[in-house]
Amino acid sequence: MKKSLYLLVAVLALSACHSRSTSVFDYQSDCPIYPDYFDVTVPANIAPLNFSYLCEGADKAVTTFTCGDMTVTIKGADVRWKMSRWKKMLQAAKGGEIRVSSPIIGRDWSIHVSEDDIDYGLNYRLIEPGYEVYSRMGIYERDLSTFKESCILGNDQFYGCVNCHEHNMGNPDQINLHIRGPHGCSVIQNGDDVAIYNTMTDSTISFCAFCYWHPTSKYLAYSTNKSQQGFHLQKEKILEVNEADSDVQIYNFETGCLMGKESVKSTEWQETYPSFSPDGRTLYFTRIPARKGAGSVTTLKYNLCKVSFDPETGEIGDEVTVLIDAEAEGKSIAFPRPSYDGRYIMYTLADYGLFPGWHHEADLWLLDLRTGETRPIDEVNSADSETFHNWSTNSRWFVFGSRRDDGLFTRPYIAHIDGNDNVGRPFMVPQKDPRHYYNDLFMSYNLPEFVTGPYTLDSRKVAKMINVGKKRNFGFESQN
Amino acid sequence: MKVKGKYILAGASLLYTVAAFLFFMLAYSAHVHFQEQFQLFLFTGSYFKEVVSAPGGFADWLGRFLTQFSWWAAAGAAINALILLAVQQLCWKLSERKTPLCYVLSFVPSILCFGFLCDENAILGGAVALLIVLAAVLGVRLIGSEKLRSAATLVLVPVLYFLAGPLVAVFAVLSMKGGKPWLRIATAAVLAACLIVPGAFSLIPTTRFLYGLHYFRYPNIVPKLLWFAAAAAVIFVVVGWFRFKNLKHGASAFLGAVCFVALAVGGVYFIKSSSDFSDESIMAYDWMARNADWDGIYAAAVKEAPMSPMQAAYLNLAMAEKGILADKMFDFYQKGLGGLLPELQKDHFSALPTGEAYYNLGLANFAQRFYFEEQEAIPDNQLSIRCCKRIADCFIVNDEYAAAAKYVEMLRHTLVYHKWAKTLDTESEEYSRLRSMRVDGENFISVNHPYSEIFRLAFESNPENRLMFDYMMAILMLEKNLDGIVASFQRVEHSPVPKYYQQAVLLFLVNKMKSLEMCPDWVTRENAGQMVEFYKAYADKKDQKYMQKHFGKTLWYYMVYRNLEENQ
Repeated sequence: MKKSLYLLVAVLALSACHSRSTSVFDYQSDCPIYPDYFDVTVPANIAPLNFSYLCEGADKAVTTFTCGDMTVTIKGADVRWKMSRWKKMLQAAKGGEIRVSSPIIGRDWSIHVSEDDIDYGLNYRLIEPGYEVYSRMGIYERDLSTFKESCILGNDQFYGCVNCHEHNMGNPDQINLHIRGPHGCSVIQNGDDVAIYNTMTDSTISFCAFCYWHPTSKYLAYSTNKSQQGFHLQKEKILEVNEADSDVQIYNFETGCLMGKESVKSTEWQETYPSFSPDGRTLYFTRIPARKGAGSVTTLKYNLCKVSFDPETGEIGDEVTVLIDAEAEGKSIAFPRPSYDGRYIMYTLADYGLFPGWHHEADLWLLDLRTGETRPIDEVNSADSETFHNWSTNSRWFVFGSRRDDGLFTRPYIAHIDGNDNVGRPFMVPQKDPRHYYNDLFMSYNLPEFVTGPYTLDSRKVAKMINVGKKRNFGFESQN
Repeated sequence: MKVKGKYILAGASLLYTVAAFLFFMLAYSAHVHFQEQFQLFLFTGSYFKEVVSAPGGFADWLGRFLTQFSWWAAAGAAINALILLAVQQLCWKLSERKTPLCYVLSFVPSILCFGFLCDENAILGGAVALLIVLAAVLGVRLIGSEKLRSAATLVLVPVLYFLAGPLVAVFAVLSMKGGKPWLRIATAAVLAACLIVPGAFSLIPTTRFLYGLHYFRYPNIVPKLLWFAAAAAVIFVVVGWFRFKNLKHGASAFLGAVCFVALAVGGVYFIKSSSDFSDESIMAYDWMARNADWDGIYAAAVKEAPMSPMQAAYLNLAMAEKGILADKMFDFYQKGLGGLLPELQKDHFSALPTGEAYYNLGLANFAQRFYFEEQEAIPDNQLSIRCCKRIADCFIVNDEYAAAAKYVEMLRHTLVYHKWAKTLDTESEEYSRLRSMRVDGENFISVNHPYSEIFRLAFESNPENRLMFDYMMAILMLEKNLDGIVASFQRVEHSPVPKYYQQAVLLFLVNKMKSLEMCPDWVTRENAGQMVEFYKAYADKKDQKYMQKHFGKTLWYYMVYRNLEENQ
């Protein structure tokens, strides 16, 4: 009996063992460390950049970090920092660099430590990169100076899909959350006021989806989209999200109404991805001519446009200006995000369509609003898709999702941009054990954005509101 | 109890265990296999940590560990049978009345647990949790010192809650016997705290903590039979605490024998009513399809005609794989397109045949989508070993090795696919064959695209794909698109022309030319003759029953009469 018990315990213990892989199908990477932290630029308040060696003989690795008089040596394949040591070294290196020496890979490199601080944390949705059916998902918050992650709202709490989310310039007290499914609604927290809304009106084509806060907090720009999924038969591509129709409207908190105007809510055009300029006087969006059900998806080429907006009166301008004619270049623009200092607009450029996450060729581009010049951000782009970017509140950092690891799961990267247009090498958001964390995670980071402090949303209260379903209704005002 | 009596009782347990084993092994093996595919047990520390971190997580982990052996029906059946035996034996050990009648009654909780395990959505971890708490009661009883026993009880309530979940209530109740009043109050208080506190600190609704996070695949459904089994165990043991007038041994033995017979009869009836043999038949098809046993599916269909759309879809795939679809299709009752490529439902099972069909047709993207969706739809949010394997297959077929590596790496830590993942050959015969069937060029399919259009595009992109052709033609036949069949069937060479294409041509001639004079010479005499008979019967306005009896296995009957039949 005892022998059987020992045997059982041994089998169970072995079941829980973790081994370093040796298969012919091992992760093949050009980079000998994971994540690739070579010559990255980081803020001085970032969590430790732990990493693992992937090369032969990694167990014998000796890694030496040097900054001035300080030297830290870490032995082994998995480089794990003690938090206090890391913070100390990072502070010492602020504005300079940490030199890293690792003889096992035969190269030294640097970690550049910027003087520009980064916001408190990130807010993102974790979701499996699926199609129509959804499993567990939620909106999460990550403290960037530690490894702490908290769930703000998960679909364990109600039956539905937690969708687009947006803070007002990283303000944790102002958030818009879109819920789909049987309990469909929009949750809006604007300071102390938290309510759920039915955003569909008789004059809009669907529920509100992509949104962007006006800097004064008086307005929210929304797109309404009649989206549908389609699929490619050929191997290079999988999924496409396209739209039968879409419009842009602006919600006025004072009147409780969506405001629409021909310039952004036209029958001739499909408008989407709205965002306000930091002074609140310009509304950016993308658009294509109304499809009217015809044409191949490959012909969907969205241009970047703008229209004026008067925050005092809530008046949307009449004249639409095309900022970037991507169609003329045979390309399509998605997700324009103005930097909060008013200098840039960052956007995603793909061959076609409005949902570049599934496009391997999708890259981040930067439009300099002072010069009107636009360029790909080669410093951060990879062979796979880069998209869903957002700016830090000081406009010195941007976060984006990239599928460079495996072409399927989006991972969050952060990059620095200085006042002279110089973009540093991006770094993957650090984890305590990044190799196993990202390897074991079968979820994508969706729509990462910076937040300036911990969330204040009362998750239980909101879940109860969603389940009860007592919604406030949006009204509609036409400005035509 | 006398030695002879002990042997008789042990014999009863042995008989019960063997019966349970044979039931799961022979009558319910597809259910046993079915369980294995909706989890992904990994031999890794991080998986262990993830699973055990929730209340009841250890029992869940142990249940998953055991469930992975269900790949082999005998192993799964043996595990189920041994768990049922253990529940019965533990109840007996905990009983303070050692009479033959009590021995018989000790089977009741186990039989209820048996019924629970017959449910396709029962999680083995639930039964394991019951075992753990019963074993813990026994363990505490073995402690001699009362003080130590009291301390152990108080400590074990939260520990067991963490290990086995809310079934710890069984332990708490059964450990109260003989304890002082303060111990009972303290045990009840600790139990209440365990059941309520986690819900207060989690975003998961409190009710789910109360009836077990992982006792059942649907988290919002209370696994009633498991809780009945637990309640029966408690009642059985607690009743034994009270003093009744002892029956004479002979009378008890007689009553025990009578009860045993009654329990056996009632148990068989109960297990029969707890089982779902129509699902068992569907799952059997699914298991054979998972193992590409096309001959097995066809033989099963010949033996007993499939009734569900899922079975029909698997059978059609099997016939296509065997190259006999266009000759045998209407020998079986066809259920329209839903019986060829069932639509994606938001559940974890119904669209597996479509995913399997797409995979075997070389439409890796579509197959990947279906397997991904099926996995997403698993109600308790587990990954599925079967879906992960197929998703990896799809990525490999599409030469997306980085994405495939993520799944393959994970599958290396599984029992069933460990060897496959370690020795993976991306140029294997299967992958090479599927690559040769791939669709190239820009072909975008919107959700509203009709099947016939999808398959036409796919076939035109790769005319060498014979299986795709068979499906394209099957769709045209099921859609009753006679013009389409006649226009398309000669796009590949046939020798001879399959039966149902011949029948389509004959029907076309009758419809358009009102004569069979132009009948091609490759139409068999038998088919042509049958057409004449069909036309004559049709013209004579024979009733549908007659038509079904004489022509039920023809394309003509499907095309002309099926709607009428469905409307009746």
